[in-house]
Amino acid sequence: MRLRLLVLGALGGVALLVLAVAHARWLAEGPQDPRFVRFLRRHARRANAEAVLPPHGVAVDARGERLDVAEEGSTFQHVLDDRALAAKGRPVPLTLDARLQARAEALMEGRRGAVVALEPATGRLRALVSAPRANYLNRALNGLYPPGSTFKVFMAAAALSQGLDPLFDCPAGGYRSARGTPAIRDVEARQMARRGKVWKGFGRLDLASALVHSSNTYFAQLGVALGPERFGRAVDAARLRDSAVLLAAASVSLESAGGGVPDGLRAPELAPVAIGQGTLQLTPLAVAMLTAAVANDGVLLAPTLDAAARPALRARPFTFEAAGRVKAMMRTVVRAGTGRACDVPGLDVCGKTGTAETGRGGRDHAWFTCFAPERTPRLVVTVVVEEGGFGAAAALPVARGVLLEAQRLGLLK
Amino acid sequence: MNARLVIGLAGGVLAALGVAVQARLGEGAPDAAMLLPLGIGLAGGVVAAGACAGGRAGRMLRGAGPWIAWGVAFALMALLLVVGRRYRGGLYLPGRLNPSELVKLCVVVCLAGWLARGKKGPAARDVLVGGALVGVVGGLVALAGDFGLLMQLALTAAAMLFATSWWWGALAFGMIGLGFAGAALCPVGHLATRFAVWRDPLVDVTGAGWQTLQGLAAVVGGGVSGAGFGMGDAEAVPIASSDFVYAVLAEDLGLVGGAFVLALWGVVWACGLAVAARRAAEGARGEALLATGIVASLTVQVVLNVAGVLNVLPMTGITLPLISHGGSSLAVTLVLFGVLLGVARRETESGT
Repeated sequence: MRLRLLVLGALGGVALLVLAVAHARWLAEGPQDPRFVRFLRRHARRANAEAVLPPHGVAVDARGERLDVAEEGSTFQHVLDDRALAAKGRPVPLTLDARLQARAEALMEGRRGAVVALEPATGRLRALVSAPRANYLNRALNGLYPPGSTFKVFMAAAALSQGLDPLFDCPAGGYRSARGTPAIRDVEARQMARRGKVWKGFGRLDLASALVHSSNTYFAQLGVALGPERFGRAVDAARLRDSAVLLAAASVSLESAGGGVPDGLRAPELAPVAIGQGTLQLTPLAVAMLTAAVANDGVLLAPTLDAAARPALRARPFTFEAAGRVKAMMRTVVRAGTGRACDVPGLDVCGKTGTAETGRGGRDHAWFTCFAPERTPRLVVTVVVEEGGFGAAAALPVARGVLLEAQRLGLLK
Repeated sequence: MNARLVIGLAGGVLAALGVAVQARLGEGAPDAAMLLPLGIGLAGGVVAAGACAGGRAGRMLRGAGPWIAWGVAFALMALLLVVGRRYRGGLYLPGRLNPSELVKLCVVVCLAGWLARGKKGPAARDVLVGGALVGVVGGLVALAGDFGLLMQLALTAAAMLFATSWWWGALAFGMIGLGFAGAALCPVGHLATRFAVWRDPLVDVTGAGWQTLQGLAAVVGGGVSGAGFGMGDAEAVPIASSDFVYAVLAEDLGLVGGAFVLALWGVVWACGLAVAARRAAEGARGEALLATGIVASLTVQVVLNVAGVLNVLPMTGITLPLISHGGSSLAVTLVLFGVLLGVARRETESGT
């Protein structure tokens, strides 16, 4: 019995020793496990644990300048923490430019909304602003807004890519896609009526002039003509419903929200969707990506914040030809249409304004999405200002300011 | 060194630490409700030590003792199943009394009685009858859903069988291993959650993993030397006073404090087995098995509890003896110490 008790004693001793070792292992390895560290930071919030945690991850731009972009407790910060943990505390290099970022943040001061500045040829994000700050929701990546008239860029490029280039009558009374639905009218009809004048409507429009005039009547008809099947194909080709991973880390990634694009619609129900209203909702990043696809001759590169990432293909939503034609139309919008205020001499800016009804009453969301220069697009800038009113009035000046700063910094050469 | 003295000292230090921790978790000084079980337990321990000294324990094991013990255990579990009320997932008798401590003692006494039979060792029939009786109680425990207690009883019984014979012991441990593997592979009821958390507590951090992770956060927060007694965020530790008291210790006193408590239990374990070995050498096999069963039960409980907090094993919901909150448990544990000290007393000293 003596020997058996000795063995038994040894077993128990080993068990107790294993526990002491497990205790020590948690002390050594707990702060090395990014998921556990995230739990400690987000949920445990212990004064005593703070001391043993690795320092927060810090983001820097290509010039080594510190980027103050991630809010404490946000997913963005957790991703930076993870990356820093893996890189032994070294700062995390991002594609953002600290100077452009600072300018964009200053321009959004006091407003609600987002700014996305994206290199169409590489997918690298150069500025990413969500205003106001101190909010877990990153509006640029996860804020879902009706894109309003900026979606007409997509509709035009998608229609042209599928060989659709029709003429439509655009009378003052607008277009009614089905009996009992309200007519979709052009903004001019309302403006003229308010001034007590009679407006005869645009008459017969082609795609180019419809985009320059941002004619709702035209695009509503274009949506119906495109039909659910071709529309669905275009949405899939552009991967509008997919999220995008902007910065990956060991256990958590910074991702954008996928777009809310209605599915299973009948042709008449596409009329409001085609003008960026209805149940359609996109993130500012998604609108920037659509713009980038046009700017980059129909090829969409995967957007990224990771300075170490190589350019990667995300989708080929439009044909080369369609992209080229829409590019020219967007240039006309800025040269002679609703985007005139953004016509910076020597920059050849291409753009599209948007004014999106929120569906809640109150003021509309203001959009402006653009790129420059026309021949070799270097930068896409997309701005949304929540309840900012007209896109040209509220969002365009911000985009113009960002473009001017980018030009000053030599980012457009 | 005198095993009795060391066991007494280690138990005393642990009990004192337990009172201090409970006072630190409660408000201010320990009150009557905490000190009463301590007094009852100490008095009961002294009485038990006296009652078991001088070979009297062994004589009790030879008579109707094992049957009485089994009857008590069976009655307690049956009563619990009939009139028990659920509280925090466990069954309690009215007045929130937990009879599990008494059940453990009775099972140890019953099995020690059966395994002590025979001149050279128990016949296979004795082992099987003893095992079957323990199995019946275990079945009732399983019916009550207390898998922590079931595990503890099974491991304790296996340790006693191992002390009796290599083969019976190996068989028992093997069966427990198979049972654990089976439960891990196809867990039933709330066991599924516990095994899932055990495999990876970080899957559902705000749900199933919350409790374990908060405990581990306290362990990590304590570091090597701890935040200082009373300086940890014990409020943030779930069920701090009972199942997770080790997390409180670890945060306040660090790895040093945790290892100290584990070492003290290691001392109790070693000395308890030394007592058993000596009594076996003196021919008192029943008392040796009684001592083995008692220290095995306590040590298994310590290991299962701390392993649960450190996520080495799934959470079992059992307490840390002498330190966790619980009046009845404290009192019975002190009585167990009394029995152990009584058994440890040399037969030659009994005349004095």
